[in-house]
Amino acid sequence: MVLVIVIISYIFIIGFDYIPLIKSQNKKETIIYSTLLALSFVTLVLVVIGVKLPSPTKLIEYLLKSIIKT
Amino acid sequence: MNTEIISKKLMIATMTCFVLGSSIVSGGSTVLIQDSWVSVITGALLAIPMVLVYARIVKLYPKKDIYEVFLELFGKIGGRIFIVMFTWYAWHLGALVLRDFSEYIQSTVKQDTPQVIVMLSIIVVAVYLVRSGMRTIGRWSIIVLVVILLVVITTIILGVNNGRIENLYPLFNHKPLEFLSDAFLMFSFPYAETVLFLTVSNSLKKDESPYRVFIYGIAFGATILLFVSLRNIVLLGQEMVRSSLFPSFVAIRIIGLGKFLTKIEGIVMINFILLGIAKITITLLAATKGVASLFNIRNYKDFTIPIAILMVVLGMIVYDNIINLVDFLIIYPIYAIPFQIVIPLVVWIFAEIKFRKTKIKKKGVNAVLIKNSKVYYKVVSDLKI
Amino acid sequence: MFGFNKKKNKVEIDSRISGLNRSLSDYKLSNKIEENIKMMKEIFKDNDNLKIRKVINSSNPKFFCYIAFFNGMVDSKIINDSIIKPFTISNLTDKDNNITKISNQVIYINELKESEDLGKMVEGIASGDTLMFLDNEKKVLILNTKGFEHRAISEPESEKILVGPREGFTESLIVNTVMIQRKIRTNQLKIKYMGIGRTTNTHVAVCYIESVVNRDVLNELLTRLEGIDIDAILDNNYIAELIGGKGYSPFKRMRSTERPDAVVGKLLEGRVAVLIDGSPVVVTVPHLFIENFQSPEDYYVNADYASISRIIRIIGYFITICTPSLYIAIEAFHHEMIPTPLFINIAMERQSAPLPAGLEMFVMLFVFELLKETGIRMPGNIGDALSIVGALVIGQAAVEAELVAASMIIVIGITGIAGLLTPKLDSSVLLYRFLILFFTILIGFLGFIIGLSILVINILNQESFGVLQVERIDSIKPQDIKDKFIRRGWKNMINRPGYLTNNEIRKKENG
Repeated sequence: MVLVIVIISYIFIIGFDYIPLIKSQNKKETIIYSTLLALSFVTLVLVVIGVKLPSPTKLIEYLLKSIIKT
Repeated sequence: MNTEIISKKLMIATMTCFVLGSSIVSGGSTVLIQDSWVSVITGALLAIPMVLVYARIVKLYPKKDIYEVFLELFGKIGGRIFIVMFTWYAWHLGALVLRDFSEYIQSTVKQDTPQVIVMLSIIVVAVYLVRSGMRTIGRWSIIVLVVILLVVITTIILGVNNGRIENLYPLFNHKPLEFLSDAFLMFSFPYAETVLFLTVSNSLKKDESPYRVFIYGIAFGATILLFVSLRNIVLLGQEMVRSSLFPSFVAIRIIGLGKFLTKIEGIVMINFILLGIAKITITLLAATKGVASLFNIRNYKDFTIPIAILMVVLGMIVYDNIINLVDFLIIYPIYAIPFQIVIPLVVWIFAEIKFRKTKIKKKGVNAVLIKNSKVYYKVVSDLKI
Repeated sequence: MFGFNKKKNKVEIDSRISGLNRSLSDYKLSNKIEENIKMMKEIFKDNDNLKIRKVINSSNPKFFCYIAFFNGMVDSKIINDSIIKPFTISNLTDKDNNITKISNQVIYINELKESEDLGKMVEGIASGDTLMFLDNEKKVLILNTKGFEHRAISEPESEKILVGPREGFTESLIVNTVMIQRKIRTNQLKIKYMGIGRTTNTHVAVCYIESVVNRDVLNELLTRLEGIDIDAILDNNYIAELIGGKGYSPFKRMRSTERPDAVVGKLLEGRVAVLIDGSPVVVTVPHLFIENFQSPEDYYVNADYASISRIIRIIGYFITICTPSLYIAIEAFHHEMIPTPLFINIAMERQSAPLPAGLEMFVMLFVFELLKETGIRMPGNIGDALSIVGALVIGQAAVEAELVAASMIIVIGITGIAGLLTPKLDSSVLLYRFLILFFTILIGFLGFIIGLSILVINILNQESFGVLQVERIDSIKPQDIKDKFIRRGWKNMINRPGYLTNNEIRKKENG
């Protein structure tokens, strides 16, 4: 159900934002936007499905604790 | 009419909303229980010198946001490293606030909706605000402030009956070290988070004083927060303040108006949500500008949507459950030090040095022009020799 | 959204139009009158309304002229009495056969032009002027004989008020500008004519009062008008879309009205009015958001009553947008916000309703929109019967069959009635009702606030000709509120609202 909402909203985003961007022919912006969009789509779908992605919080806690110890 | 340049008043309003952002839920830190209100003030006092540093950076580089300053001071590669770090901070902070809010909503009000949907809905408003430009954000902040003030004043008036001043006693019943550490907690959360406003400093009109903006922003935020904190303590008493996750919410449950409006905690939810949106908007703005500066693109508004979604994703993965949230709060001040203190100080020192150099250069040029005739003679005499 | 195919059509239109222009520039006036007449007949070939008549002077039969006009567009009396009669009767010799003598001393016409420009001639004759061709003369006289039929001045249907003037604009540009000029009897009133539209060449008039007008807006408006490149302007809405500014917005960027007194009031505040020949609707720019809630009637009734009416309208606007969502939010998600006895009543009623609350509300709103749309388009006779059927029978039957809950019908009723307070904001009301409802169904009260925020931000963003539609939020002065949310008495409204104009002149003194 949530997945459906996500996919529908992405279709809207692509139509609304992405296609004018392609038409305006800024190569740099299009490339960056495409990567960001693809990355966000993939991660969002993964999160919605329930796949556990690594959390930066643990990394930060680990780093800080090791710095404090030394 | 430019949508980016705003006046001092709008900037102050935005900053006040930002400062209140997630702290109004708890009325500041609750570690000191009945003395919590003290940290609101001490934290602000502690933050003032830091905030003056931020303002000084803005003053030295008017019309430029801090990403441009990074690039100018530290070159292309060094500057980019700083940009990445700062963008990460903004992005992470936004995700944390987002997660805070959806946890709050889940645990108190609406159990069924998946957190993703809540976060996505909040981010929709933030995206709209960022794309509308700084001017709209400023004007919206003023409206939000009016609403906030109305709600807070109403709850205070309604709570007069139920509150007990004795809850404030015993006053100052903690060790000075505890006061200091709590002040530092308040310093990093929320006061020094205004470091993110360095990314929008190019929106301030040229002759407006950034010192005023920062000081007033912190001052107003602290004042309102003080009232909220006092209200919570007076209404709840020691035990509840210490043990509840969201003291403001619990406090409102107690008050009511006769038999008719017994449960009006929904009203404070308006407060929380609007302020939370304000804070998330600024973090989103900072992160988007950072990404755009990284790749040297002028028009940052186009990237808002993917970065917003990534913020939601980060918000989802950053904690496993609400216990992690509380745990992280303890180390947050230390984690934030590089971003709130170290980087601004480094920038400030480098900027001052550069500023002095250019001033000397300018003075030198002027001196040459004045002494032109003497230089000519000197050159001629040198040539002869 | 997917607009890839727009380029083709423009090229086709261009060739068609340039064909038209090319044909007109092929023709040239000559000295010989017979050739000119033959040319006229060719230009207006197949247009049987064109009449050409030869007028011969009685005392000197060698002295003649031709007049050309469109049947029905001209006032025949003027042609007969002022052109044909004097030309036929007067004593003319061969020496008098020059255009100056004819125009100054023979014919009686109040507005008269000499021209060699074929474009002007065609435009003139198509507006109702008469063309007079003389022998051995390249120049042609264009004589004002306009006298076409137009609707009598009547009260506009869509803007009825209880008390006050009942004049409304008609479709004739001259009549409309006259109605405005009658109310502003000063040299400060400026009326500029322009012709817009490649095929129709519609007359458009821009009116403003020079001493108070906001010059930036005026310049912006003129620039945009001159930049219009379209076949035809038939109505004010064409102009509204073409010069409104880019992007879609549910809020109007210009105010349209059919009442001269409303237009004059706006002109006095520093706004600019655009009148279009053929349309009784006049457009004023710039448009502030608060104007959606103002009505000229406010000035003809008691000041306090008017203030209350305005505030009711503003509240009504928000009621009509928020009520469905609030009902859903409270009833489905936040039971504790309303007093418990009330909630128990509602809950008991909802027991019997089959659909979930949100879906039901959607359906009901949709049905309401259907009813409203039908009501507008229905011919008058069927109207009464159908409204009885629709409202009573179906509504009652639906409740009794327990398809919908009675409380929901009450909510829809309140929503609908409140919506009638501000008809000008209909498009935004429709959009936001459904938008906020969608968010509320998703996440309850939070969704309501999110939707409301989106509405507020959208309103804040609105611009009209470079002027923000919502005024200075950071520095509200009492001066601004005096005539916006409430209406103080005339004694208190000494200065003009400072927001629009750069020159604050006292309203009561003669500006």
